[in-house]
Amino acid sequence: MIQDMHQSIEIIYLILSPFFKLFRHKKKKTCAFHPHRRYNLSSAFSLPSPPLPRWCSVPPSHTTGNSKKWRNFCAFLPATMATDFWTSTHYKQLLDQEDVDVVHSLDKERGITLEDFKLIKLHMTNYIVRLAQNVKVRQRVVATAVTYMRRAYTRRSMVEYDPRLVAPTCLYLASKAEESTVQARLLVFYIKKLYADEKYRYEIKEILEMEMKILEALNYYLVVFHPYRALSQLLQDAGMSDATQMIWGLINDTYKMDLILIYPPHLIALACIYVASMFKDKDNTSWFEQLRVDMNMVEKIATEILDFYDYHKTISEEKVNAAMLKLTMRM
Amino acid sequence: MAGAAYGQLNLEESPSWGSRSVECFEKLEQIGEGTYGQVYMAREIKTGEIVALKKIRMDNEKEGFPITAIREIKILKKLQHENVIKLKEIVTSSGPEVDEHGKSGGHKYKGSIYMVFEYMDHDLTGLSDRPGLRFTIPQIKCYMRQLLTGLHYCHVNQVLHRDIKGSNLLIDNEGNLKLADFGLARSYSTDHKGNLTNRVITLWYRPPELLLGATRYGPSVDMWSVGCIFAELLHGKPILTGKNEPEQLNKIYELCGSPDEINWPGVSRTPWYSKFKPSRQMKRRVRDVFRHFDRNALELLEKMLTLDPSQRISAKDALDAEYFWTDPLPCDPKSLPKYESSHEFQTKKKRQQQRQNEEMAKRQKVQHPQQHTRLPPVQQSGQPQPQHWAGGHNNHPMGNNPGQPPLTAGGPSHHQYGKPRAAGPNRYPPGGNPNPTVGGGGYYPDRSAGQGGVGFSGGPYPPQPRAPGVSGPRGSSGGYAPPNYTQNVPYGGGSGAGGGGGGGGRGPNVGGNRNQPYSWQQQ
Repeated sequence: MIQDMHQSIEIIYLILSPFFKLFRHKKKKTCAFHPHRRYNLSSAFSLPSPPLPRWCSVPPSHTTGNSKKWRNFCAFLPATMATDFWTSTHYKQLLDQEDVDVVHSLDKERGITLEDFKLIKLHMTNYIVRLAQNVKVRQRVVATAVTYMRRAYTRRSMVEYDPRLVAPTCLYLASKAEESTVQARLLVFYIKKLYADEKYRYEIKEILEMEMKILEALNYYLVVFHPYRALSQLLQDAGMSDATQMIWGLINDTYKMDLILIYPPHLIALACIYVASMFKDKDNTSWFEQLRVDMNMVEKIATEILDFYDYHKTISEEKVNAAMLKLTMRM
Repeated sequence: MAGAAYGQLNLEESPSWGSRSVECFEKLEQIGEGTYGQVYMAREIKTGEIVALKKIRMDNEKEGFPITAIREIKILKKLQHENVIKLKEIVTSSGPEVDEHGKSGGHKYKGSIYMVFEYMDHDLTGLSDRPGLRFTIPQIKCYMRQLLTGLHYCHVNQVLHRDIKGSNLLIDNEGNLKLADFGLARSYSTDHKGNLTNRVITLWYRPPELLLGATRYGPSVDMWSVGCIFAELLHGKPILTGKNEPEQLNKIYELCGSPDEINWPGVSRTPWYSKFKPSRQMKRRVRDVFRHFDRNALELLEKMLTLDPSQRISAKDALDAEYFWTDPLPCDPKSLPKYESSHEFQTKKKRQQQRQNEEMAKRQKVQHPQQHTRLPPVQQSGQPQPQHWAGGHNNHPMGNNPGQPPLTAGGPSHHQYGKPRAAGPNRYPPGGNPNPTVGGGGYYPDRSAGQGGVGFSGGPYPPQPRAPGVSGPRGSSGGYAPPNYTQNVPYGGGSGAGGGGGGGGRGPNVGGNRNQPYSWQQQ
């Protein structure tokens, strides 16, 4: 089971591996990016460039008769008009790696290590993907579901919130939040079909109850921004439309890590483009230079992605099973 | 540690995460009740702050947390603006089972969920219906400007409100106006494939394109509603008061002219164009009917009540209209008079008393001519104000604003929010009034009972004699408002006690009980 879930990742790894060394080598060269320089990114991502002209900060005069002076409707409007990623709860909730990598005390008691913790989350990501393929929902729903699951486990323990229930519940909730509702009974049907293991079998009622707990764990913050947003525009802009599929796959794989909890999604997308351009041996230096983004960050994420692919080779089904077993074991 | 109630666990673990308990609030008064749940006025114990608590009813939900609630929460969390109601937080109360067993795994979640809103004193309809109250022109401009500013903000953020009407515009005693009740709101994108439901917006405020079955639409739908409210504020009463979809459309045609390929290119391709084709050609007579409005107001109104949605003015352009920049200028909200809170629902006993009084008054004054509750704005120009009722049998003096709930004249009183959204275009009734959104009842009988001649008296606009059904159980109390007109229940919930008065004599499908700004939507 683990193996077939790893298939996509293996393929990507096989494609990528011959060039990893090349990449790491090249990376030094590309440090032409000035670390602190702000690059100017096209409108594809709503970057923190103040989206609003400052005229908005001038309050209207209610008393003066000289209305022409303020003849700009915008005088009514607050300084920040459009809500976007930068005003979103997603942005405000971005965490540091250290905060994400905290194993809940209850889980520690069961002997869950940080590696187990990550493995279980990876395993559950694969579970969500697999379930989603059966109930046929958009990738966006999968991405949101995985994000909910990972967010939930920054605050909740796996002992109390059984991942085998949390995963389908997150998919269920995400399907609603992303406007492509999947019926709970359909999920339950496929869970039964996919997993013979009793431990995976949960009923509709249990999913609905867990939904409330997940909502609470998420503090009802349901909006998630994803790296897929405007990806095609970016790729077109970079002249990399031919690599769309590969980059899409790379982005999908980033959900097997906690990147979405830590970095702004556009940087994750750019990191994937970065990895892909290295692989395609396409010199995108000048394109990246135009972007008003922190290239150090992009490179950092790219390295994390590559490290993950390296690490991924070492994962075995036994390891995952052992980690899952710790959860079930009564101390 | 293991096995602690997860509610407790939340508090211990990280106070900033997980929702607080509803115990943090002291419920002061139930200010609304409907089958969807209750709305309470409450005080936060720690701070003393007054809030409104809207309960999200969870039982009978086969699909868990209602998707409509998810939509509303997502939208409200996204929108942060001074003219949009603020969702402060969501609180839960743990149900008895969780309390008893205290374990987190595998227990039925019996708790309730409440949305916590900032408390607002009034809503626009309630305020404008206060006996003897007259808005001044600067005041109307001030409200309109706030309404447009809030709406522009929503539209910039790709949110359609889809239920703009007076009872959803809350006003506090600082003169601030806020958009509320995003229970029907939807995010949209400009490249959206369409397929939005056309069963949204309270009938009187519903634009022609929705009545003609459009499922691809945009912010312009809200702007039509704004136009209706604008005219209503200046005119002193609602302007387009159809009892059902065909009649609503007909009223629109009578006022704005019948649509054709010249004034609305593409109209003939709307789904129900041929079905609702007007029997005769009608001329646009907005300028004629509202000739008593000042020139700039009329000009703006014309642009809002434009049949073709693509030519209808946007909120942004409306804010730039001459109207808001000529004397008398919009006043500062803070300069507005402070009104006594209009929460008659807080005094149910009093309501009963008033009802009796009203009955008395009714008997005594049967023969008296109808008077309108609302007064037109104070006009500088001293123009004649054709606000008198064209006639009709409404004979109840409106002065004593009785607060009892109207009896159910027809239609179930249950809350039906979900319906308009859920219904596909195909379910549009071919005519008649079988609108699922029927219902809704006001707390104010004078608004919810029969309407007596809604015509623009004195004008060429044909008066609308009231349907015979007007005199429902309490119909004779007069008033012009259909059920949706329930005002003054800013936190919603009017549909329960007062609800359900959809039928007899009121505009039957005026959006049902969607008159509660914070009301909850049920699937």
